[in-house]
Amino acid sequence: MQDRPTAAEVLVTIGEYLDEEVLPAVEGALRYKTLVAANLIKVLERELAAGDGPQRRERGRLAALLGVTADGEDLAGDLLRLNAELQARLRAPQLPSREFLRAARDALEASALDNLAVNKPGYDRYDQAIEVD
Amino acid sequence: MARDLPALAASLDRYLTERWNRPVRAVDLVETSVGARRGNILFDAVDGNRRHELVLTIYPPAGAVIFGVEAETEALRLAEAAGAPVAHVFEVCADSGWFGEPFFISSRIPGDSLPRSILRRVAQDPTLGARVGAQLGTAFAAIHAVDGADAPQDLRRWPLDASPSAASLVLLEEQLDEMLQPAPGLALGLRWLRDNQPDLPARQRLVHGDVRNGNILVDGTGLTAILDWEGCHTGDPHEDLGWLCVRTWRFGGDALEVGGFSAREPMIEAYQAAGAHFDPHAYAWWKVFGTLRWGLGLAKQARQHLDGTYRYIAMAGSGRRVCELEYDLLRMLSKLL
Repeated sequence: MQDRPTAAEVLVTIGEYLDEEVLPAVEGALRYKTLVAANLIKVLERELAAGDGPQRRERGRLAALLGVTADGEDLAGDLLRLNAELQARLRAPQLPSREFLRAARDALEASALDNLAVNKPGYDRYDQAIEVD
Repeated sequence: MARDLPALAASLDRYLTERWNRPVRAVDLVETSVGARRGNILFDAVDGNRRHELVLTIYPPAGAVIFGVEAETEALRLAEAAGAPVAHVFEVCADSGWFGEPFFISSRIPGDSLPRSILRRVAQDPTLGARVGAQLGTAFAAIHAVDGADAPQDLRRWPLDASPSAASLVLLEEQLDEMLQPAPGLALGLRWLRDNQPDLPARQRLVHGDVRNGNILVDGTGLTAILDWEGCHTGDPHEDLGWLCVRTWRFGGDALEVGGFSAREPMIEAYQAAGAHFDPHAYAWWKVFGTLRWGLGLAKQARQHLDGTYRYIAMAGSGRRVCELEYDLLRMLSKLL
């Protein structure tokens, strides 16, 4: 068992330090870089809180789309393999069916939304689909 | 690293005195965007009892540029002659002896370039945003009136009878190959782009390549200049329209397609009123292209940080922004696929 503070508690501590002590004291390029660092700390806090649920859901969607089984211990390895397989199919010279492209888009959007929830919550408030006829 | 401004002033004194054949002194030097590889130094040239407000632009090291100072300044002169709001070029020098790299000296134009300053101005003046949108349409029409055949040879990225969309896609395919991890969302965008290319433009034109909120100058009267011509090339004019309207350049003003300050219509209407041709499909295609291009660009920044080419925390952060562009791309594809 790791000693307290937990990883999440360490991140919150670093984030508070950057927000409350460093940011008020710096300006210019240093302030910009500190803002980036403080934002990345919050990204990590959310990533840690989300656990491996987003990756498990992504693996399930990709396996269903590609018609394969992937439920082993190596979640990260499965994700690399499945994403590479889907990318290869999308880049192949022969045209995938429109149904496949639409199903792939739906699956990829669901994963992009999970990533946004960690990296940029609220980004999906605007839908660029309305700009396209 | 900040530049040695007193040394730059001394070199400017010598250069301008020699070129203008009378005593000239460079004063009040201010470096904008400190640390950028391309140097932009604002200064006043004191010339007898006259003062000229100027900008010294120093090129980055040779490996980081696509073409030389002569080609860029020739494009600026062509755009100016066509009526686009751009800095006037006074001096061009390919000799690295003066400032370590080639440079040019141009007029200094008033206005804000920081996106958030521009959006603040627009928030205070309800007519300004649409005015700048229309002025951008007129400016694009002027730039795009320059025929590709009249542009300097170095600006031709591909033959004048090639398809700009097909040739541009090759560049994105290469960037996708270089990614550190598979990115099927971006690959899907590339697939759609490949299968749905716009009609070949009647003629290739001069294209700026990087007009966005961040590369324009705006003051209380409206648009005063289009900056940073280092990526200009010959191509399909719709590339410029689509790139300007990528969501990233709206800085939160999402519903206003043009830089977060204007709807699309004032820009397109002014563009057409000035005699330019607008094709809605080509516009949509190049906006999807621009969204993918910037997603790949952000991934490249993260890669350059991770492989040590350019360690910089903001570029690490860029990697976690790729999903924004991927999401925008996939939302547009929800209508297009």
